[in-house]
Amino acid sequence: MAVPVCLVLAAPAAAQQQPVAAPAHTIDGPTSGLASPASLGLSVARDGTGGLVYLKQAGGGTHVFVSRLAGGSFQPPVQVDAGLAGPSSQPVIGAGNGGLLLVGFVNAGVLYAAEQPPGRGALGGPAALASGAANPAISISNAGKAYLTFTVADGTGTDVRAAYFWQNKWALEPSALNAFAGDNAGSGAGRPAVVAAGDGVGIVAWGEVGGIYTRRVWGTSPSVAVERADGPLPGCTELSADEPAVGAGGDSSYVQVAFHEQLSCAGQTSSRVLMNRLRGSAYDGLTQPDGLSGPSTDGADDPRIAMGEYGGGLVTSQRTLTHALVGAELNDNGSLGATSQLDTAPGTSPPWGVPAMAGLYSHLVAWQQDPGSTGTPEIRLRYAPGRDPLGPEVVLSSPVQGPAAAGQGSAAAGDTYGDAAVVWVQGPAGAEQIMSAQLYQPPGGFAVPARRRYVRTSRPTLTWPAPREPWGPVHFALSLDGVVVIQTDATSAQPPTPIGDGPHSYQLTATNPAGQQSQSGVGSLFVDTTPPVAGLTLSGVKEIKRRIQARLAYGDLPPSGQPSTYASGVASVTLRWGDGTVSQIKRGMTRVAHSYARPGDYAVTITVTDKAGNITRATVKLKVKKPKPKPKPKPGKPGPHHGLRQGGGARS
Amino acid sequence: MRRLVPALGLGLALLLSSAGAAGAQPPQGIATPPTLGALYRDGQTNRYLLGGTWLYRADPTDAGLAQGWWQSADTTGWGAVSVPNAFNAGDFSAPSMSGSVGWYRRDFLVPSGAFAPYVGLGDRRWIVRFESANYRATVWLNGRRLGGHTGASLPFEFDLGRPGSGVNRLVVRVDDRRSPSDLPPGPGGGWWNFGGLLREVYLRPVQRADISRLAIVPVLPCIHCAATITERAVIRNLSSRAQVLTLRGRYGPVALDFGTVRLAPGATWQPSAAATLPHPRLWSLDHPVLYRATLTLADRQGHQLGGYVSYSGVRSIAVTSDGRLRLNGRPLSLRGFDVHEQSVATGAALSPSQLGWMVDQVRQAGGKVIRSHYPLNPQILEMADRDGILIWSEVPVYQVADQYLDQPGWLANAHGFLEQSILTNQNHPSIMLWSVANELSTPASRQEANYVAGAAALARQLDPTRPVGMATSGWPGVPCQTAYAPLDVIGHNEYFGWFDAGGGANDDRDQLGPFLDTLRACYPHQALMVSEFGFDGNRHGPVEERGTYEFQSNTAAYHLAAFASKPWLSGAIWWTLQDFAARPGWGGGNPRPDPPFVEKGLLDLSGNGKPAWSVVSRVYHRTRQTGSG
Repeated sequence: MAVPVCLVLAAPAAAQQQPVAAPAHTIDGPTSGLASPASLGLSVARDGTGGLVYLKQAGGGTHVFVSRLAGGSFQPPVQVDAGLAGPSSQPVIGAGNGGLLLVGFVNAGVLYAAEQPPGRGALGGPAALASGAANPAISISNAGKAYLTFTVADGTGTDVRAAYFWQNKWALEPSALNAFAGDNAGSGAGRPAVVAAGDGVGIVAWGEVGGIYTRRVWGTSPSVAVERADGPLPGCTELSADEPAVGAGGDSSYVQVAFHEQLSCAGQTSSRVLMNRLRGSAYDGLTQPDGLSGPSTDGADDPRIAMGEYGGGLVTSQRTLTHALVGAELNDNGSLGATSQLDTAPGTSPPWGVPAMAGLYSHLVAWQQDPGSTGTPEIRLRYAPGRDPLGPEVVLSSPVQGPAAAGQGSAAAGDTYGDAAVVWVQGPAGAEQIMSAQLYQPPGGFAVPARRRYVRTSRPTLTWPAPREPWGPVHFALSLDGVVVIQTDATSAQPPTPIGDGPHSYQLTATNPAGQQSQSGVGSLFVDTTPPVAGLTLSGVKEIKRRIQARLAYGDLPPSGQPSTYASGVASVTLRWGDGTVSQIKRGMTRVAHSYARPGDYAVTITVTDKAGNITRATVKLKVKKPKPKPKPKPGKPGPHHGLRQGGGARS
Repeated sequence: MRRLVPALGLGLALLLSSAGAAGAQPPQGIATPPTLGALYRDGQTNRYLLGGTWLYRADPTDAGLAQGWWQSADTTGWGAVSVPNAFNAGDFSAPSMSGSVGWYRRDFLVPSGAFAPYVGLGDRRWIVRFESANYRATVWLNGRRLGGHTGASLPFEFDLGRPGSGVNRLVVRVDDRRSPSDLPPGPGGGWWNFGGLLREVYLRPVQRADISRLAIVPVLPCIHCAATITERAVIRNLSSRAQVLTLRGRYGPVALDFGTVRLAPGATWQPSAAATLPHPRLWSLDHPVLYRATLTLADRQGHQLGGYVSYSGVRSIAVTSDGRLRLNGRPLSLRGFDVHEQSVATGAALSPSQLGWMVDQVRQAGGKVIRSHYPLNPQILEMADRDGILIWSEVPVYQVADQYLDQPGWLANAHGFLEQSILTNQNHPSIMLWSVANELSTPASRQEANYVAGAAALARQLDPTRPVGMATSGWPGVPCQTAYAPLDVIGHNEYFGWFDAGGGANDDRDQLGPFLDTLRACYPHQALMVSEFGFDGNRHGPVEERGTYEFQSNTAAYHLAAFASKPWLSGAIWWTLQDFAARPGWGGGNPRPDPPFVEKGLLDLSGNGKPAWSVVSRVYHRTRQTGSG
């Protein structure tokens, strides 16, 4: 019987560590054309491919642009909605392995989806999915299944709908997901949220008449069960709930739903972020990830969830009065862990925190730290490698680009190896930029052959495997005998100058764009440019069926003046007798015999090969004859042996 | 003293044992003779079932040894039980799983009439056979230690010598605390650790010599060929004087003459004989023809010293170079069930009716293969023989950590277990392969590769007529494993859409089909089977919700359809036939679990069919499990 193999069999990526951030760089701008807000969306698949979507003015209207993340670099942005009249809005993006990108947006009340299939293909043109649509949200699973949820006007309000993507096809769910058909669902702050669990089940959460509802969707089949997540805290009366956020890992059985809720507690209105874990099709009960307890003048809103494969991750919310950023750790299966304030310095504006996963367990949160009049707003980050707690604050933005403007847009995402990207809007009004900071894990380990390699050239070509680095390119430094002799982006190289005979060691150092390095093991190389020596003499009666003995002399010598250890040594010795017979000469053997069956001229050749493949041959020619007829014995004087033979002959 | 080798173990025990009568008088009604007859058909003739009333005494502080519980005739503190017995049946606490010590005692009278009148009193010996004790057993007769044995699921024997004519007191201490190097590893483990005498106990009278073992090897060179029947027996001279022994046998219509030998005192004779069966009726899934094989051991005067009966089948089971498992030359696409010998009420001690019910359920569902993590109860094997059901016979080398796989002591134990499993059960035509392990590390380590190679070689040496297999784990992204090269049949335990493996690589069931194709590409010349697949069902609810009956049914149908699309797949086995106890706190991927029970069964704990039962059964019955040649 199997057990949960995540515990005993899974072999996730190597342990992750605090990443190193490459200097932030500009994806677009400075420009006066970024929409306000720019509605940044960022998605990174497990394999490190992904894309950024945002809104920008073009041709007199607001349009959707996408910058692909390929080979570790954000590519020049391209417009997705070219050809569509009128402005576009509410872009969303989902990334799947292999470069799959799905982009959704609304144009003239129509929900469009564009696809870039896996591989090197270009982003396709947008296809209309639904009319009267708004509020799209998208999520894509590790297997490449996507759910796009949205609202559709139904005359009296809106319904929550969903579309399912699998194997290059979109399909609409057959019916609205609303809890009640006549309700105004998913509108305003109740806009739907969706997550695609690893098992291919989508979970949609939305606001409906002041409540938060969820429903699973499996392919194009909405669940028969609709669950309500919100409710009053003890001693309070619930006023309304909205801003749903939803998170799931590989198993759709465990779903965390966070939301904002207005409560009346002892006559005082309270703004809180609450959470409820959906286990199966029933909620466990309300939890409080916002860190508030008891009566407080402060409130909380803007709930966000990042949940990894096994349910670990982070839930964030921001305080409405102090603008503190608060996080609650999620443990296995999404169970709620410790809650703490994530930012250390007081802020004068909302932090707009964005949590993200960067691996099966690693996660991060980025936010804007606004010191008010004492400084410039900047983007900060904390990162939790593996199952470790969040590390120290790191500033990602540079003041050179001006004040960060996360309120105009910010997003974060990561791959499964621990790499992550954070994007945000920065710069003064009219000269804003979309900035990106990429956080790198060191290149993966890589090995050179453990066995010594013998070569017979002084400038051998050395090859090595590329280490894992989804966000390359990787730069290699080849060290020979402890000295760097060449630097290259390739995975093979020749030493620039000849190297002498004898043993050498070599090692590769791989460096990624963030300057992080990993080293290969030490390889062993033996150069032998000097051929072995070979000698051959033959003795014996050169007649058929007579033993002819070969005396062999062979060896492998070092270059003149060098010690014997600078020769690689004899690897093999063969002796070809010229009649098709080949004697394999064992080490140390200096004599070998052979007899020929037929007379003729033969060339006997000794071939000596050293371990580096140098070959030396020596040949001796030989003429083999028939024996001369023996003289007949004289009558009457048989010799003793002849007598015996004759006797034997008589018996026959 | 451990007894992994029942027959050989008797030798030393014989020299040690000549126990006298017990001194104390047991309570009235306790001491009864065993009853003639055995629950299993195969084995020595003239067996006596040592059923009736046994006594049991728990020893939670392990004080019994120090206090000499084996030597006291006092019954204070002992309670009546029947055997088979699991002393912690119904106790699903953590201490129960961890194991403890329990003592069994059976006061018995030697049955009269067990020996022919011509057998001298000095030649009237008895052998006791325990079919299974979990995990370490120590045995005394009338206060005299006979020996010990380690490991469950296989029988072991001791020579009782000449018990007294009065009351004899057989005492067994059973300790089911297991260590990580035990088989299966403990403490804990993958299924509930039921301790006790889990299968029957037999007595058999023996005279001067005993047929300890019979191996029947039918070889079918081709489907329409004559079969060659080779039999090997192990005969031991139990007496203190040399004897002239004659062994003869029959295999259905043909006779086998093993010859006559003069056997020295205490010596062992291993005669073999062969015969040709010109037009054998083949054992197959549809027509499981059995031949009755008998042995008769006689002395110089023609007096019968012992007999042996076995039911054998003539068939070929092999993997051909196209990577298909074939029975009598016909490719198999088996469907069946993994089982655990367990019930909520009686633990792992099952009665004949419980065992019969289990096999009956397999048959009713259209199952044609049964697998377990350990050698199955002989009654199941005999029913499978009769019903045309194949058995994936496995040893409990279950998720063993790499660090043990190359330890000499562990290897000796594992190889010994495998050897005994083969020697004990090889006469059953239902057994289709010997499986050497379940779910070792993935990817395979160096230690695993060495173990697999060694175990496979051992199995082939002992039984060249059957394939060697192993149940493995894997997921997309795991490269082809050279460690599996020694295997004829690779079982894959697949839980796509249920258990998470490889960081989510098999989260989505739609990845199953492509994954199976990659497996086939890796191992084109070995037979592939899905040795496990299964999903919990313990409540009604939405179809997409894991653990609901609806999910179980839907997912079962999906996986079975995926298997049906792979014509090269030699079989698939549902995990499990019935719900069973795993371990305390078991969740097992079900968001609404019912620890400690695994609820992947198609039958619930009470034996009621879940909705998925009809889904799986329908597909199984529809599946053509034996193809055309």
